[in-house]
Amino acid sequence: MGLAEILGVLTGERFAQRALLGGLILAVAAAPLGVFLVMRRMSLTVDAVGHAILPGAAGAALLGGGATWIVSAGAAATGAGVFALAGWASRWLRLPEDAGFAVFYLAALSAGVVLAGMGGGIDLDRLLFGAILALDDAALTLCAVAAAVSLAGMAGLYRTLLYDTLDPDFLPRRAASVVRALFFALLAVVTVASFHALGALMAVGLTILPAIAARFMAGSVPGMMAAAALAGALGVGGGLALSIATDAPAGAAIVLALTAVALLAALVGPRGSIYARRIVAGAVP
Amino acid sequence: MSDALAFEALSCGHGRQPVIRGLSGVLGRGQTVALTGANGSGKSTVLATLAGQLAPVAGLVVRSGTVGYLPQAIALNRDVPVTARTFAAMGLWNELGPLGRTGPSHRRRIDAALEAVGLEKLADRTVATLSGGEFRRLCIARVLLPDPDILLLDEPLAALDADGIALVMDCLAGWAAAGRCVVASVHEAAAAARFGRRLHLADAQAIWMDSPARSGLHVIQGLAG
Repeated sequence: MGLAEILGVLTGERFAQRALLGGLILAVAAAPLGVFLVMRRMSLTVDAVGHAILPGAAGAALLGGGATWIVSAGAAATGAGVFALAGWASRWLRLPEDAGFAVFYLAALSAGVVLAGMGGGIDLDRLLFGAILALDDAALTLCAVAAAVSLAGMAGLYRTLLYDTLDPDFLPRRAASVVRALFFALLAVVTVASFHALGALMAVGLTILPAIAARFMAGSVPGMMAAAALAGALGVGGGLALSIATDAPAGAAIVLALTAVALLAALVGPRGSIYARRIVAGAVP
Repeated sequence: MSDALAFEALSCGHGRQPVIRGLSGVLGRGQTVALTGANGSGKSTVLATLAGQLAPVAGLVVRSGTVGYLPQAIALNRDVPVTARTFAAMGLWNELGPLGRTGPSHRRRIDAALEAVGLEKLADRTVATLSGGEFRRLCIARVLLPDPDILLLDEPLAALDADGIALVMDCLAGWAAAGRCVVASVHEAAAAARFGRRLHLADAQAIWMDSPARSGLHVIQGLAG
């Protein structure tokens, strides 16, 4: 399949247009969150969010049918529940917080798989890997709402979150816990929206991978957010094209394309990449 | 001379076991106090208690004015690319809150605070690229920015070279002369001698090493000159 043909499908076919639109909206929504997650060294912790939403999504699909809104509500409920429970259990059992998350997200993932196996008509593949090529109106609306909430929320939280990320002891304790909770709420909203497109296992990819690319592309926090949105958009477009050209599953193709963008940025990006470090080798950084 | 900070029968410590017992004193505006003592003698605990970061185990602290507190160590996240100016601007948090706009008068104050610690030329440098001493001075600028009445500084001279120490000591003298009360923990004997008063911690006790009569503006003026 030639490039012109791929572009023809991507811009001409309705399912591909919807996938592209949904993916681009999610890339923009996830970009500022991902930049802060990477700076806060929570790239892996956030993986737990993706897993945590699975049992809710599967349970809601089992009880209420596969409607997008029902599945989203279930996903949000267990996502929030697992996060609250993991934090509380870590403190109560005096476990390191990441150990608590590991227990709970593994449990959540397997509970989700078990629940999905119990009912007829639940597509486990779809829960795990998403169905970006089959986004319905409700899922697209959810993406748009999530993007609006994420961008408005991050604009409001920006200064507080930046200070808390830069110097975790600076803010009064109350302000710090409020800003962290709100940040996680925004993350949950965007992850639930991404879940329909990329599934429980891949949804976090759209948040983290562009933010990692952005580290090598810009030298300020707002610059990194813009770069992450751009990297995410490139990955979504490239991944969909790859999927159309090779018939590869679209979610996995997007995550692979996002990885390629991150790798490319790490190799030749203008900031701190391998290429950039060679140029300044010997000079004072 | 009005009182800035008073403490009575103060016992300080983490949890219920005090590290320092029976600390009393009254500090006026314009006074500088050096807090001295060996490692582990409780200097940081006393400063954190005076600042209100730590609840007293027993006794009372009365603060007549706003407090600026510099902790001994600041856990800077070097992965966040911000300029020295942005870091200093954190000092305006109590005034601006999460959404307040940084206006021209705020920007002038930020520049003045950076200049006071000799960092005006490094204002646009990324914080992660500053040296240890430069970053310490930046943290002092951040404490100074809200113009607090009482300055409680935990080892403000740590990591500073001779020029940096001279610069910060001149700053301390200038702030005291402007009517602020300054308490700083210091290790260097020469630096401690330049403070108006000295509070020495040893064996869970605090001892005033100088008569309060030595303190006051005449000493401060001598310090600045």
